[in-house]
Amino acid sequence: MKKLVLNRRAVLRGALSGGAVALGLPLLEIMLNGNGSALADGRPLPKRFVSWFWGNGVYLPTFEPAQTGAGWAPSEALKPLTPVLPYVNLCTGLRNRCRNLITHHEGMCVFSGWDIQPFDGPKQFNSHMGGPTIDQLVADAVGKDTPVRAIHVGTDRKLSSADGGTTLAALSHRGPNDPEYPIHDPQTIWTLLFGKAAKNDAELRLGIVGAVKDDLGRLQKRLGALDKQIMDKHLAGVAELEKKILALPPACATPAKPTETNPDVPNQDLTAVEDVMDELIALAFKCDVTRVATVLFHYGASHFHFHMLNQAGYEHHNDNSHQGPGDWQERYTAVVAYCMARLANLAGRLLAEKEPDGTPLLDSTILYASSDCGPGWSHSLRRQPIVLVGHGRGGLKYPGIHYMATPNTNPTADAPPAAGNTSDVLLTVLQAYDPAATQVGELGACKGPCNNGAPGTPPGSTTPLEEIRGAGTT
Amino acid sequence: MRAPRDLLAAALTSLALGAGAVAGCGDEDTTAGPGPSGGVGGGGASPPQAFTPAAGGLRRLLAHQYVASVRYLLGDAAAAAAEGAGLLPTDQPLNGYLAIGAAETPPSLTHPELWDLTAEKVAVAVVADPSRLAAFVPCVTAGPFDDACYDDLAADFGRMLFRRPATSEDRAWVTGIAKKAREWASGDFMTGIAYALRAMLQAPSFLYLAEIGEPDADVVSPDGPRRKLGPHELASRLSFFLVDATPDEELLDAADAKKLDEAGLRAQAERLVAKPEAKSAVHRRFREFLYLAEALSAQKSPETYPDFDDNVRAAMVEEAERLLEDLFFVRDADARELFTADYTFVNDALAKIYGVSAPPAGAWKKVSWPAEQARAGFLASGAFLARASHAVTTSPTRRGVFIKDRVLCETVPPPDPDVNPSLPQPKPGEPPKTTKELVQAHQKEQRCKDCHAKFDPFGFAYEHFDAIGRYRTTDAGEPVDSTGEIEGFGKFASPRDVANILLADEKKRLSHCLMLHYFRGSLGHLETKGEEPALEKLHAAFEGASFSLKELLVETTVNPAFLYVAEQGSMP
Repeated sequence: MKKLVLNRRAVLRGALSGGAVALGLPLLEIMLNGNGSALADGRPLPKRFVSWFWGNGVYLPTFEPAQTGAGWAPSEALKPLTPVLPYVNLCTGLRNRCRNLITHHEGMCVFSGWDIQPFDGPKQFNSHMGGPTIDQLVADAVGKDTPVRAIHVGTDRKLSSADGGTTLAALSHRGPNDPEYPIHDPQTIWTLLFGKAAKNDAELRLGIVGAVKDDLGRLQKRLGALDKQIMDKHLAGVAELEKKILALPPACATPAKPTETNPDVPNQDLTAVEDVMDELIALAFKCDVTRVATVLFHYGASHFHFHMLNQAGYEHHNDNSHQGPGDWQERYTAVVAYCMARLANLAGRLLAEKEPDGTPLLDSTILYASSDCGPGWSHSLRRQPIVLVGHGRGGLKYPGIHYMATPNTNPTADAPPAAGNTSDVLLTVLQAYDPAATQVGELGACKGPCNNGAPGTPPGSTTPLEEIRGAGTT
Repeated sequence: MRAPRDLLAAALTSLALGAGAVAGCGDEDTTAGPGPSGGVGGGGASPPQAFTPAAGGLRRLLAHQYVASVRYLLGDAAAAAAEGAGLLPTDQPLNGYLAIGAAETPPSLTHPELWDLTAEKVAVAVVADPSRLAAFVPCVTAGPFDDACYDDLAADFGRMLFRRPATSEDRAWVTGIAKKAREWASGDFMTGIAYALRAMLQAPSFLYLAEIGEPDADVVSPDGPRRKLGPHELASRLSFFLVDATPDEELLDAADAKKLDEAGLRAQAERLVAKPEAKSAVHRRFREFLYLAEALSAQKSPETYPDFDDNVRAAMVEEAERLLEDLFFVRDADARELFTADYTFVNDALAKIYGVSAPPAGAWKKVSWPAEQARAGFLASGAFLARASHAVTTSPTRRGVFIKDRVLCETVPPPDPDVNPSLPQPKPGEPPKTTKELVQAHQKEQRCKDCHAKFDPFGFAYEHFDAIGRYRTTDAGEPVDSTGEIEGFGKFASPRDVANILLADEKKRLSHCLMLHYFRGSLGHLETKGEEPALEKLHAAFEGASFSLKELLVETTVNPAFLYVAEQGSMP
């Protein structure tokens, strides 16, 4: 009898004739090489990535721990991360070097290293992201072999009508004016990750895909250059659908369809929705349905009231992060701690879910979490924090450290001291997935060394942050 | 996609600003150029120029337009399946309008799968009840159930779905899929119909409106020949503009017969605008324009406003809907009354909030605003006053920005970077300050004042109304001071004053702005400088019809800005 070799691509090619399962298998021991350090066909073991966003910054005095280096103790706002603390690399005191400032939007550069591109329009706050976000770069490296390239999840639905453009409304961007908007309905997320075709009709569905491509092609002949870009994107989506049809449904245990739909209502239950989303992401990683997710947990400048923290009478953005009435510092801290608890919830699920060899999924994952500013009231890009959880198979330090780029001599200032470049962290993270990567974000000719903070220097990076880099693949 | 303006503007902004910030509160309102309201209205300050249409191209159907089209073409059960599956991609706004997002933002990578899954549900529903499909393709119920029937589906239903005559290529691929599916299902005829429909419903020919046109040899502008939309493109534009759904058979017949000249278009527009779907479309435009969805989920402090619950929120939105209905469909009134009317509609909960006599529980009635409160129009109602407030306090800034942006169509720039925009709270032991005092204290800094002086004072006029719209005479224990003044607008002390100034405005900003919102939110692009002459002509027609919204809608359909497009990429 021939030894079973599960070569995903070969199986994928044979799917139509043989109806075999290819994509969407959990990692089985049979698929590993002798010592379990790679797949049997020599390809690396899967690594996963999540970018995670909470809006409106932090109250620095209760966020930044005093202690740096290894063995750091979490601050009040970071305490909820205690159960996964060895997995946390915390970066503080850095500067997000985005140059186009319109409040909140520019903070999103921490996920891309590209300046936002403001544009004229009737909205007060209008911008696009200038280039691809980190999740897209990681998906380019690790998303090709899974049925779903990346999944984009949103929970909060209270984006302000004052904000226009795409920057704040999406955490993932493939390029300028090319957002991958979050999906807020857990049932839709479930369908995209775990939905199964009602019938064994892959060949017919591929016929439909072919017809759609042909129709696109005919339409495209009549279009101008810009609409051709839209059609190209549509075509890329059709190719994703094609890949999905070829990948038979995940063979591992899949969760039941959630009951939550997450409508935009007052007192929206963020905790419950986010927990469902976390479960779906963790199981999708485990089943290798996808390796990349983004979670837009709480919009920048959102109108959300954290009623679950007994703050129904306070809009977090206006009344807490903008120094509203009463004890705003306490409320601000409570909300950031709550967001960290939700981040810890996802990390905890990834810690609980195990690879076949018993190692937690968190070992193969990096969660890259940040906000849209440092101190919320001034929207300052100084000391914009980055919380990294998981090490991506040795891409980051484990146990983690607290890296502080420069001490905070004035914690309550509108523009506190800051140093370095948040994009250096992005590059370190990207290299965990794409060791050949030498740069991230927007670069350009600059006199003298790049990233020296000179006005006009683009916010990208060619200099990874060595302090948090791990020992390599484990 | 109409993105050249945005992308170009972005590039220019980026170049011009270099490392600087995007701020400043100069004369952006009257700046000519590719920006919004680039001179439309504003008293005709710009020199006369030739009309140049905006770029044509593709616009994705909005989710509700998809559902409405399925309803007309395939029946209620099919529409319920499309909607009930909850899988249609969620529309996202750009520049404040879903229609612009659908024209200028590419689809997400997951859109094709979601369209496929939705189409599958619709096809299942149609197979269960093909009666509506049979209205266009009788053989699906009457037989004979053969290849010719698949061809009828491709040709006759294809024409309806794609909003143009089906081509031989369409017929080949539709029938090809149907036959393959029939074979796969061991000869089951309806399986062929189901898969063919599933394919047709995700074809770009259905999902996108193509507004490309043919070169118009008669008029050559400096940017090249303008393009005249063809009869089928016009039929689609007309139908989605007026009823948010695919053209009906009568309209497509008129397009086939090339009867959509000005008289034909006008006749069709008048027919469509009388349909119930037109009413829904008008309501939908204004729900977006007035941010009613945001009003429906506005949150308030439960301690300060214990009665502000889901019922009150829903009643406030219904009040606005009832006003729209009364103005535009019962009275066919002057559309400006949306912001100036001296009456509103209340149920018992709202009557309590506004201090007017209540109708019996469960009922609604039309009431005059109490004279002493000096309220006027939508801006004096809860759906505005509560939405544009904070959890406890009012927000003259949010209220003022709405008036500047949505009522006058004047741009509000973002604040200076690194400025602390927080209102200075009184220190412990200090006497409380009124909201107006806090806002004014904030404006002591010149860089704040430069902009805020152009809209905060509007909000002062509404200071007699608290964060849920109740009338008040004191704030923080002090008498309310509702006086304000804005350069280029006037002095005022109440919503009624603001309304009177709007009505007497020589620049006619209110009526221009109403027209522009409808135009942007329907046709999916911000007005361009080149469209200015056509829009001025449209405004003159609007004014000539005593600002009847229905007349505005009909006139729009025969306006050059509706009939012509430019070559894509030819934008300045």
